[in-house]
Amino acid sequence: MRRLWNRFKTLLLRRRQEKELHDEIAAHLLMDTQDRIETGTNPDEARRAAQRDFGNVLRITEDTRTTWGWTTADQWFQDLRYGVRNLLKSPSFTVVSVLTLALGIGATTAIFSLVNGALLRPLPYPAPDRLAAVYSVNPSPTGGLWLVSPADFNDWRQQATNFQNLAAYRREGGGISIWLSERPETIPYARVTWNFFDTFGVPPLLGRGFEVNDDQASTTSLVLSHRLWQTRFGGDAAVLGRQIRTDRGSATIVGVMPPQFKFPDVDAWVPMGCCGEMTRRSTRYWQVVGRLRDGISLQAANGEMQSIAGRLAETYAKDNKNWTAQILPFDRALVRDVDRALRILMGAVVFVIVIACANVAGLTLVRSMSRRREAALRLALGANRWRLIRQLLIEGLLISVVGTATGLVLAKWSIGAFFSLLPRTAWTPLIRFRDVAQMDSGVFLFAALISALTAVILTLVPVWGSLKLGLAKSVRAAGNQTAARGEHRLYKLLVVGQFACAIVLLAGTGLLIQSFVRMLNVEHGYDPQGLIIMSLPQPAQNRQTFVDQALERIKAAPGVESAAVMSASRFGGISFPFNREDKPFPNGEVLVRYSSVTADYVRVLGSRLLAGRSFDESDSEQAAPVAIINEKLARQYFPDEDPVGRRIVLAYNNERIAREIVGVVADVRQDAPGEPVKPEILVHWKQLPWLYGALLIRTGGDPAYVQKAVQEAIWSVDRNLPPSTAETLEQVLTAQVATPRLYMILFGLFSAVALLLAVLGIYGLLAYIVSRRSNEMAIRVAVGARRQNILQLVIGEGIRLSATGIVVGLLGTIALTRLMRSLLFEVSPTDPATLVSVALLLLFVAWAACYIPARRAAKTDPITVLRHD
Amino acid sequence: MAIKAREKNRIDVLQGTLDMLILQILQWGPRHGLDIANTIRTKSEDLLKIEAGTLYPALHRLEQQGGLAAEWKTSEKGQRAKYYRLTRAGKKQLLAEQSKWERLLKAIHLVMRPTEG
Repeated sequence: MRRLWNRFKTLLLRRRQEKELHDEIAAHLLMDTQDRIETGTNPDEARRAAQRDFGNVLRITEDTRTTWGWTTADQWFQDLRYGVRNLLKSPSFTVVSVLTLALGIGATTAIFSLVNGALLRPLPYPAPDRLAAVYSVNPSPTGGLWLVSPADFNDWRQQATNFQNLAAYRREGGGISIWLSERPETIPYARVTWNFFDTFGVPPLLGRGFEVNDDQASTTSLVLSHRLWQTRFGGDAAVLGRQIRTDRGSATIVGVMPPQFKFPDVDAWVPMGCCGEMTRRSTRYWQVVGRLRDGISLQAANGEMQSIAGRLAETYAKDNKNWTAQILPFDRALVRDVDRALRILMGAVVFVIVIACANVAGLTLVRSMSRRREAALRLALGANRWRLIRQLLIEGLLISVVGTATGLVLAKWSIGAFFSLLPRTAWTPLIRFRDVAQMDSGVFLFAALISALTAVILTLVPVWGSLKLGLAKSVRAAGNQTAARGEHRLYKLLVVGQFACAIVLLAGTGLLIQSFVRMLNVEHGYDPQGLIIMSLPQPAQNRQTFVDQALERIKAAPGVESAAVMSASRFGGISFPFNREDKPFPNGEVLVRYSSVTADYVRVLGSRLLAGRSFDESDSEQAAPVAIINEKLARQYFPDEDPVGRRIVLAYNNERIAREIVGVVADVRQDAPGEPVKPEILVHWKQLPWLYGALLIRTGGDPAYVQKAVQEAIWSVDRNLPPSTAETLEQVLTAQVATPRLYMILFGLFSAVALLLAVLGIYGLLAYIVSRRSNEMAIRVAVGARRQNILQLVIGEGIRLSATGIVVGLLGTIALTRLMRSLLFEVSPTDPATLVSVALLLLFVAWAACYIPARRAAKTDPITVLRHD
Repeated sequence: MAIKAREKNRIDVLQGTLDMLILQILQWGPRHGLDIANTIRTKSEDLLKIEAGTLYPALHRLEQQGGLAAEWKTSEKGQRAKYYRLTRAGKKQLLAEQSKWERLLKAIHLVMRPTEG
């Protein structure tokens, strides 16, 4: 709008200035004439003399005009108008180019915003490069990074000298329930050690963070996020000191954090608490973050941590044998799970933009060849070469600017769409970047760079062609229908490149689709149909009685077929060390999954009992401790033996309790399909009640209705409990594959665009070649070539080009898909079936694209064509 | 004959001095283009004649550069004309050009004076 106004003003001003000059000269002549008449010359003579004296009015006007200093701007403006007119005159070229660029730039910018937010932008804390995450490292061959036990953390903090601060935190999956009105609400929260905020170097906006005493205090302190403070407390500064009721007892609000601090994606923080937990060494469930002292390198700190961990492994050989520690830069640790995937997506999207650029370059090339006559004419009439290049540059800029603008709109929209494809659960690691994937200045700079690059390509391609051909030659070429070989070679190269890039993307998509299908068909080991998982909050006192009573009433609730309680708040569980009693493992205890479940668990789940028996009512608190193991554990730790009847030792809270194995169940897949099934031990809830738990409910009815009925049943036992959250197992399974599904969809979209553009590219090239070679075709037909020959000639040319591209691309594919290995499930990155089928698909599409121009060529009527020249 | 001789004696205005002359003339008040040309001619006793083809581009250039400002006024003879006047920047430019010109004159004089001995 503003630009339009400026342009309008310039035009107006310009017109006024012209008129003034005209008036000024007229006044000059008039006054001169008058002066001469006054000295006695006759009027006619006076007018002529004045005019003679003044000189050539037109030339003087022109000379004066040049002093206004607008001519360069004027020329640009002229070229701009000419460019717009030109582009509007060939709407199909313009629309296809703009859309192509918009698709390319939109996709690239959207993915870049995500990559920028997640990987590139520094964390919003002071000196983020000083922050480090510390992990325990498991000695077993499956190895990997583990969380940290409270006791280990405590020793680390006391012994490590390289950290200014070492803090631990744990984001509690179930959230905390707070009562601000009659009904409680559940908000995501984390338990943190008192120095947590100091470690990040972010002071609270209001009030204070935690102090050492908060860990021992009788009432819990609570720090609010800015968002929660604004939405639930109206941003009132008087919240400080306010007591609120929570499911962890009464809590006092002591501080509010600034808006940018939400780590680890929570709305409230409470102190870790002092007691009980700090002695646990065998259970590792704390996250540890530290701030390194100035001048201490990561390697030095890592070395120190390993020697501390080494000492602990000796001192506490029972729990820590062979365990060591590992430090990672905090920003890397945060994106550990998505880093590779994001890089692959970014790589894929680079292929899209390359194909898009190649396509637009090809279109421009064709257009510039058909405009050669115009260029030659303008040169012959004295236009300078720079002016012609400028004209091309302006048209290139116009297309790239409009394309980029459209692309940015597309990107903005697709970032939103991207996150709406992800369910908000812990299974989808990308969801936590929804706030940081913004179109910030970095993203705009990126888009501007791509835009400038494409404008240059759009200009250079035709310029390169015309510079190679001299003026005289191009005039001749314009008249003559012979093709310019150099440009054809360039165009062919572009098409080959497009096909090479397209097959890489298509192969990637093919592999991801195969993985996804295999994930969907994976063996679950149970029947997910009609299963619901519901959280089960417990009262502070008499938990055992409550669970018994609640379970009784839930089983009686309408729609419920059967129900059990399990210790994990969701599917999956935590790991504890175990050992065989009869033949202890030479390397000490091994970590296995561990769930406490009520008697009906195996039956409710629909899992198969392979040997022995399931839990029953005889397994009471007083009875001998029992356990059920899964097939995987039986195979791995009791090879060639019957495990039923043998005894294992389980660690729990620094106790070692021996249990008898009474049964073996089939493996139940609990994690995402990419993860291997883990060895697992089930113990009886009565013998090992858990502080938190979840309900597993089997129903034949409507899940929403059953959920309501179960909720009523729980509240009929204890009215004060917060509401339960519920998920159907089908939702859980969908969520588990949501991330692979998203990668598949994105790759699919990229490949669809790539395929479309590659097809347009080869179609455009052949159509152009056919039109340029119509003479040759006509002659061939005239001397007796048959329709079939012409068809073969043209299609052969197209197939040769696309096949070259495909072969080159396949080589690249074999090199590149290897990088995708971590995204694939049960598919080899060079799966021959996939590669062959995408190559055939591409070849077929290329053949179809070639057929249309080939048919046109074959229909050539020699008389019309030859007469035309 | 007298006229012819005078024509012959006319000097082309030195490159760069026209601006100075215009600024000098406008020191004493706003004038229109014809007035400026006539004043230069009479003041130089007909030795300098400024062509319209050089005058108007110069005036417009000075106006663009900010040395001159212009407005439309009615002359004493009742004709509307574009009157140019000196701006503050124009005055500064005039002073600078004057001192440059004087140094140039002095230098030319030094070179051109008959050598002694």
